[in-house]
Amino acid sequence: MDVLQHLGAGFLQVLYLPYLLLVVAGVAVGMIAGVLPGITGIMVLILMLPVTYKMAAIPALILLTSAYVGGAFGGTITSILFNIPGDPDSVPSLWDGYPMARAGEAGKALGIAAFSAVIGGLTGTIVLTFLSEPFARVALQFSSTEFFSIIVFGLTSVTALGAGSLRFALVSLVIGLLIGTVGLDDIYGQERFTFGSSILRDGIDFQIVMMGVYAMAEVLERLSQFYPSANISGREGIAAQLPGARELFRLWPTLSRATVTGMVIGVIPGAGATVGAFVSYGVEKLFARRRKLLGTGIPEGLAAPNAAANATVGGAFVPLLTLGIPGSGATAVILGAFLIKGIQPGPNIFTTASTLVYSIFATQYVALVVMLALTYLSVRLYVKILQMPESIIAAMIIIFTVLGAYSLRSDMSDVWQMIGFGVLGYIMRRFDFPVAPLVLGVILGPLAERHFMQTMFSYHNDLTIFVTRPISALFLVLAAATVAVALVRQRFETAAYHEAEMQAQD
Amino acid sequence: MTNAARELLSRKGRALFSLLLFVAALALLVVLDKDSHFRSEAGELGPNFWPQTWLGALLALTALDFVMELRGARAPAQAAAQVRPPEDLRLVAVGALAIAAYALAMTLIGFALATAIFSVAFAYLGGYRNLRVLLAIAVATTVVLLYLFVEVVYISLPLGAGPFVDMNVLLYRLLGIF
Repeated sequence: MDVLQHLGAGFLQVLYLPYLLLVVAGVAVGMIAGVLPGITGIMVLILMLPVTYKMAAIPALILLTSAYVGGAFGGTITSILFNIPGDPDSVPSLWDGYPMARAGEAGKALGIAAFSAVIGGLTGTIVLTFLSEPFARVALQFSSTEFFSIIVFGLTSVTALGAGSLRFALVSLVIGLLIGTVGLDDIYGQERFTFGSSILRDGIDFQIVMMGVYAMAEVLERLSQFYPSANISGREGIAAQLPGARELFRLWPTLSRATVTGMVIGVIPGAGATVGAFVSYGVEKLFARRRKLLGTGIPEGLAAPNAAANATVGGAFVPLLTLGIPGSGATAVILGAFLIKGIQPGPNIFTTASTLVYSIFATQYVALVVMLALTYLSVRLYVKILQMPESIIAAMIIIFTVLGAYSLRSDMSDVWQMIGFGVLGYIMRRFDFPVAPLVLGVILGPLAERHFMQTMFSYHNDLTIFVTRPISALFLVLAAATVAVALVRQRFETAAYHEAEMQAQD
Repeated sequence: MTNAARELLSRKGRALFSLLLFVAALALLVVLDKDSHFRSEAGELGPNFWPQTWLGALLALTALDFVMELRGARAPAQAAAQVRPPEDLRLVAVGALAIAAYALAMTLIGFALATAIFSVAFAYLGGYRNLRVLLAIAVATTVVLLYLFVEVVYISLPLGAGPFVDMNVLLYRLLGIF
């Protein structure tokens, strides 16, 4: 009952007209970012962050949460209409969405995708609303030992579950952990890697790192490839059509499977919307009644990834709000917004800032409805936006990124740091080093160090404490299992690659 | 450039990147030890324990990477580099320099002028050639951002140095945001 009362208070905040307009603006901007190749969901949150600096906490978080929800769906529109995935999580949508569009069912495909996204998103948010507070109460019992093991699990899953080489991901993670050590040490008060600079004494802000390695590096990478784009003509008159009752009945098993898959994956740090969308498509390949037709343009192949990707949004908020641990780049930006407002997410947040937390939950419900309405009303606008030259958009991204870095402390040295991280991010991308482990290393490294050192103080440097306390041991086992799964997967991928190479040589 | 040549370049580049990281890790280990005024007592881990652990890990990982790249061992992710679209690395260098020049120009001529010039230059570098559109976008972007950040979000943007300070103040007055 308490939850419903708090949620009601959250809705009162979100339905206040100026805040409601923020929801509409956030969803629209998130969807536009998803539509435009080169702007990812994380990037749009980074670009919007400076706008929220002087806002109060509730409107700032309403705006960012709405953009997160909109961004998780926007890329699907271009996947269906033009075979261009605006975001990585929109890739599975094009396998069945684009064939449907080519078969003259673009409107139907858009409607099914949007409706599935709303079903997945709403279910994920309902679970988030009712499970977060009990989960936070459990988390209140955790000590530094458990928190350290949870962070280890978070870091290993981000490193192991990403695409590409585990070796490269580990290098990226270690670089991130080292960047996190710059500045004044929390426990002993000693300066580390400051080289006498007063700016570095405060440490390196993870938002600067994110702006560099995500936004600037992405622009440089696409610039080096001459902003690749595809032909987008011939879809000007399209409008979304919502699915009928019979279609919904047929899609129900798919939506149920995908929503559960998305929620579970959303809670796992590092496995966000992209993993959710791909895994749910894989689940359909195993269990769907018409699984052999997947990839030819059937609604099940479109419903599954969209329901799952949006169900991960609610799930991704669980570790952020209850433990203060972001599991993805997008939730890391939202963590940044919390910290700027002087609020530390964690088990106590439900008592210290309950109105804010339930406003975030309410925002997700309202944003999903707004997203459905915007898909229905404004597909033609998105087609027009997609026709904007990317070189102009890239210049705007850089200007916003520079402004974002400068606005953090009104200090140009933050801009120079951001440019440095942009170049580092480009080099890493160029040589296939993933940047997500680096970013999570910068964010979670100082937290991990603090909890590790506190545990060592409390237990006289006895490392066995991490495996003798059951919850801590459980998370370490999960971390080891994640690494083992990644190693096995990589072995299979390498073997398959060598086999394909040998066949090509023959 | 053929795929094989591109892969060889990628492998050499990765080996060089790993080598640079290895050298940087070694240098940072020395710096850490030299700058440390804290002396750990028996049974105390001390402030250097955490960074030293990760510097050690970086040394080991980059040494392994270097050897594997030289041996030509390929992971599937590296194989994906073969299908990378054509790239112009000079364009990246010029792009990065343009961004650095923009940051420098902000401190010299102020945010407004630097942003207007940069938006035209960077879009032109990316291949857009309609100068009339570019100029219109440059003016509109600069005015909107000035209004948004100075008037709405109250962030003081760089005014530049010397005569540019007066010029930017005049611009702010004209826009009604001073």
